Amino acid sequence: MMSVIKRVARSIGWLDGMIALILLLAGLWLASRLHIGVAYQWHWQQAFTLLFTKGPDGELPYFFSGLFTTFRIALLSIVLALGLGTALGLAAFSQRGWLTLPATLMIQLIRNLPPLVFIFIFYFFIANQILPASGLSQWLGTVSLSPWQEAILGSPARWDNLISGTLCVGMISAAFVAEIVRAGLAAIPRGQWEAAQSLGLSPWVRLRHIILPQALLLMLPSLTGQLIALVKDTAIVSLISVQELTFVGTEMANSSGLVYEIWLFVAGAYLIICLSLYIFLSRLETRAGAH
Amino acid sequence: MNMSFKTARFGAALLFNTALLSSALLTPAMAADAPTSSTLAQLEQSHQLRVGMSTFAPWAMRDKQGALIGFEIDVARRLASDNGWQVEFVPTAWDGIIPSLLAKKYDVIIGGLTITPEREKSVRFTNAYSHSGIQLAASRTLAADKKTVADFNQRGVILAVRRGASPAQVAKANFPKATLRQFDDESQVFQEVLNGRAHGALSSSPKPEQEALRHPKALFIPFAKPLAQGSEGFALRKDDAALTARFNTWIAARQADGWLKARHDYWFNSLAWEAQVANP
Repeated sequence: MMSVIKRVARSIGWLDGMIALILLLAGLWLASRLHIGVAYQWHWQQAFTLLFTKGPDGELPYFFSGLFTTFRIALLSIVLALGLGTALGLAAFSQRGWLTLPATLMIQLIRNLPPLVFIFIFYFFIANQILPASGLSQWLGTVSLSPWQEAILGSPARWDNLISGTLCVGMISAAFVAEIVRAGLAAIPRGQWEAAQSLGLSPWVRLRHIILPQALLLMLPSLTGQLIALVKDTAIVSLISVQELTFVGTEMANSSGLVYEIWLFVAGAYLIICLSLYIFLSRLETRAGAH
Repeated sequence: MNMSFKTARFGAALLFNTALLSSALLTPAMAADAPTSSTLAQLEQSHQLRVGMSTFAPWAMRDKQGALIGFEIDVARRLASDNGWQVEFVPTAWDGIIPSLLAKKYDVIIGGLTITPEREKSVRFTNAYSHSGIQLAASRTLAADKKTVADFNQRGVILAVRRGASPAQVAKANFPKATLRQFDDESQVFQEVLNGRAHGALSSSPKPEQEALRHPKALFIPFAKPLAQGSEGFALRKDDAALTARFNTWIAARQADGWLKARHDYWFNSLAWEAQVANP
């Protein structure tokens, strides 16, 4: 550890010093501009109190109910994106036309639409046709949960909303995951496939034990980036009124007038979530690389 | 709150509306479960009125504890209880408020929606239950010398409005030479003027007046009279004529006994409610 610090310290030259100085000056200039350009009175005390004020019946503070909804959407979407994305990626990579064509079509369609446009179309057309037909809403009306179950899963009344949001975010991400999976598989030299085949291994064993362990290692860095992008993309579903962090932030900022404080809290929350995810995934990457 | 169609992004949503409407007409299955008074019939069974709204002080806001308060909230609660129904509020993003009504996410918009011919193409309005003027709050640093409409109707004048809302149309009509800067949220609109980057902000009363009271050194109200007068109604789906008639009867009754005016005065002409929200 110490040797690393020493090595880094030795490599800092006068140029680094200059760059640091310029950055510092730019930062100070911005901070001074902030006072001139933004006529805003900060009320951090009130904002903090607002953040932690419980609901009328002792429910979770409103801000945190939004944060938990973001967690729920992010987790469910990650599962969907990885599952559907892998399936699409394998289908696109396979040499069978009846698998490759629909998978490629779907990947290209989603990847080449702005997320916002995709979400509007998906929400008002597809989700709106699928969900009522599934009879989900009627079933949800009959579900009752204990308070702690509701804390984890959210209120059943909001589930169809949550599912729409999850489907949107998950499907957008799945298209990108599929491309990562396809590219990862394509990067494995042909020789590996041929060697596995010459050993008489079945197609499944070839994929599972020879190709995927190597391909996964290649995919991990891009997957990390994609999953972080997914968490940030959950903010878009505030536009279809999913009551997640960004939606809650908008409502709180509009109601309280504590505009910048609330948005800085929201930004801080996303930063913490994404950084934690990044640290977790890069540990995973290091461990996978050690094998 | 004077919601209206957004111009750019909302154009796409408008397309969806039209398609949704036509698909509702064409699909036999949907037509079957949507006879003329379907929503009313459903309400008689479920006793659950779903109301779409969007946050905008003092129409609908979150209090310190995150509960909904405001003029619309009072109106919707009373409307439901007078009919023997429960009320469920569906907080909705501004952009999707009309598409979500058409997509049956809720039964009615009680959201200070100004009655306009454009909106009447896609929704059915009740009679007006509230009237609100549109006012301009001007920046003391940039527009201290501007007193008349003509003073603001000049090149180089920047006006901030909420995107697609009816103050934006009022601004275009009254100040065609000025540049409009459009924002998604009301708080951003006034912040732009407070920051000295726009000459004035247009919004429904009493927001401009209240902001001017809150920031007397930065803002003032140049015009004695409102720039325009709007009428707000509940918005329902086109095929809910029976329910609209029922709501019209309710509005007439609550106007006759003075209840609507009393609630309007409480939320718009007093600041007695301010302690409930975390306003600085």
